[in-house]
Amino acid sequence: MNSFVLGMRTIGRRPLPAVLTLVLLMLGIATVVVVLLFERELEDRLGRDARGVDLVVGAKGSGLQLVLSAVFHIDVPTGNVRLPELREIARHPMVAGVIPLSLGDAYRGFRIVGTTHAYPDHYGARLAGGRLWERSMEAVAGARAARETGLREGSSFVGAHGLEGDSGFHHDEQPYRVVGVLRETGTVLDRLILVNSASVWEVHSVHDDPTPADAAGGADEADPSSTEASGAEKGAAGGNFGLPPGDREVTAMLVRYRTPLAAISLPRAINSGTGLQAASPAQETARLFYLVGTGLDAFRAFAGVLVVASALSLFIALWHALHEQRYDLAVMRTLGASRGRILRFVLVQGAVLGAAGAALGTALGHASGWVLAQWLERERNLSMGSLGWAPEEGVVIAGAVLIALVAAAVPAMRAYRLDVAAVLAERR
Amino acid sequence: MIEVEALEHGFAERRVLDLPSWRVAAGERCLVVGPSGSGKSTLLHLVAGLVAPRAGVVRIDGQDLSSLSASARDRFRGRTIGLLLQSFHLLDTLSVLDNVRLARRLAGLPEDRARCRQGLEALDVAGLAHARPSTLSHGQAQRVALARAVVNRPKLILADEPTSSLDDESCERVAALVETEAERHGAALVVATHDSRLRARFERHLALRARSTGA
Repeated sequence: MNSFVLGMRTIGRRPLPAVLTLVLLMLGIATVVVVLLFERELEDRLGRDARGVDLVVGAKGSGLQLVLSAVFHIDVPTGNVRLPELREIARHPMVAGVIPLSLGDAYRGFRIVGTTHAYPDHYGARLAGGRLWERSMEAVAGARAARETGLREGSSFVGAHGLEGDSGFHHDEQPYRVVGVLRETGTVLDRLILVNSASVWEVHSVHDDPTPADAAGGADEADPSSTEASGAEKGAAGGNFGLPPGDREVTAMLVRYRTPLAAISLPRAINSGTGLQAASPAQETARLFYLVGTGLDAFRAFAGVLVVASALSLFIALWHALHEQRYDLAVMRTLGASRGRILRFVLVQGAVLGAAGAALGTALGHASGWVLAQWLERERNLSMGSLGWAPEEGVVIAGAVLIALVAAAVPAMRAYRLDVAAVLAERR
Repeated sequence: MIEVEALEHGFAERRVLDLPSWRVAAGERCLVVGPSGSGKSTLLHLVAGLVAPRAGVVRIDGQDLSSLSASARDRFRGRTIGLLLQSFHLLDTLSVLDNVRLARRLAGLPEDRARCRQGLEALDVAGLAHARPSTLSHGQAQRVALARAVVNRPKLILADEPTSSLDDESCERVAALVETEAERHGAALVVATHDSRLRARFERHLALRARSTGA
C-alpha cells in the first residue's frame, strides 16, 4: 500500500482528466520524438552520402541543387559541363581524386549514373554477385534498385528520361545488360544503377536529343564504347586524371581534396575563374538544415504547445482531485502520514502520469516515424535507415516527467499545507 | 497518559479553549462533554497533535508534543493514538482490508496482513475485507473504522461524537464496542460528545463551557 499504488487508485477514480492529460502529453512527446528521429535520420543519411566528397563541380546554377542532384540524387541536375574543363580542375595538385557523374536517365524511378569505378569504391561498395562493368551498356545495380525492380545478373532493361522513369522517352533501342549487383551500403548507392560514362553518351547520341550533352558530343576522339575508355577510368594516369577521355560532357564531378587548405582557394578559383560552379556538400547541407530546421522548429513549437497544454491539464486535474481528496488526505495525516508524505503522494501522481504520457508518446512517435519512413520510401524514393532509439529520447522522457512534477508542485504544496483539523471539522 | 497544563487555544481574538489542567491516566476512560462550540473537537485535535496550542503543554505518554518535529509528531500520533472520527473517513479508493493496512503503513510499522485481518475478525467484519467502503452499512463502516483505529495497539483512543447520529440501541452497542476495544488493547479512552446518553457509562467527565466572543 505505497504511495504509488495509492496514487494509481486515486487517478483511477477520476479517469477522464487523467486520460486528457495523457493524450495531450502523448501527442506532444510523439511530435518531439518524430522530429528528433527525422532530424537524426536526415543528418545520418546526408552525412553518409556526403562523406569524403569535399566539393562538387558542375554547371552554373544553384549550389544546393548541384549538391542535391550529384551527391544525394534527389534533384534534377543543373546542366552539363565539358570534360576538358573538368580535367583542368582534376589535375590541380590540391585535388586527390575525382569521380565524374553523368545523369539524366532512370529505370523505374532508379537513377542511371554514368561514372567510373571510383564511385562504388568511394562508398566501399562490394559486389553481391557478378562483376563491375567493363564496357559500355553494362550495368551494375545498387542493392535496393535491384531488389525493387527485380534486376539480376543477366537482366536487360532500357532507361527513360528523367528521374521518375515512367514518363517521357524510352531508349528502347539500347538496352543495358546487368553484369553485377552491389551489396547494401546504407548510402545513396543502394538506389542507383551504375554504368560507364560512355554508355550515357551512346544512348543519347542515337536519337536527336536536344540536351547539351549531345549538342557538344560530336567531336570526341575516343570511341565511347571501346574497352580502352573504361580501362582509362581506373586510374588518374593517362593524362585524363580519373576522368573519361574525350571532350564530351558529363553532369558533375565529385572532388576529394588532398589538403584541407584546398577548401580556402579551390572553390573560389573555380567559381570566379571558370564557367563552372563548385559547391561544398558540407556547406550546402548546412544550408539545407537551416531551411529544413525552420520547418522542424515549427513542429517543435507545436509539440511545445501540446506539452504545455498537457501540463496545464495535469495541474487542473490534480487541483480538482485534491479538493475531493482532502478528507482522504486529512485521514492519512491522522493515521500518521507526515506532510512530506502527502506532498510525495500528490507528486507521485504527477510523475506517473508524466512518465506514462512520455512512454506512450515515445511509442507513438516511433510508430509514426515508421509510417513516415514507409511513405517517404514509396512516394519520395528517400529511404530512411534505422529508426531506433535516439539517445535524446531519454532526455525527452526525463523532461516530460520533470514538467509533470512542476505541474503537480502547486497542488502538492496545497496538500502539504492542508489544515487537517479544519477539514475534519468540515463534515459535521 | 494525557497531561494537559495551562492549555489555551483560539482563532484570532476568539478563545475556543482554556484548560488549566487535565490528566487522564493509562487505561482510564474519560468523557468530554459540552455544547457545540465549547471546544471538544479542538481539544481532541490538540491532544492528537493535529494542531499546535496557542499556549500550554500537552504531554502524551510522557512525551511533550511541542518538542517533536512535525513529522515525528505525525508518526507518534500514528503509533500512539487511535482516532475514531464521527464520519469514519474510510478511503474509498481502497478496500476495507487495505484501509486497515494503510494505518499500519502510515505509522511506519510493518503491514502485517494477518494482524490486520485479525483486527477485522475481532469486530466481525473480516468477511468484508475486500469490499469497498462505500458499499458498507453505517454500522459496518463504524466497525471497520474502529478496527483501523486500534490496529496499531494505540495507548490512547480518541473518539469524536461516535454515537450522536445513532438511535438508542445502536448508541448502546457502539459505545460498548469502543469500550471493549479500548479495554482489549489496554488503551485510555477519551470520548468527546454532546450525547447525554453516554454520561452514565463514564465515571470521569470533563465538562467544557460554551464560550462567547472575546472571553
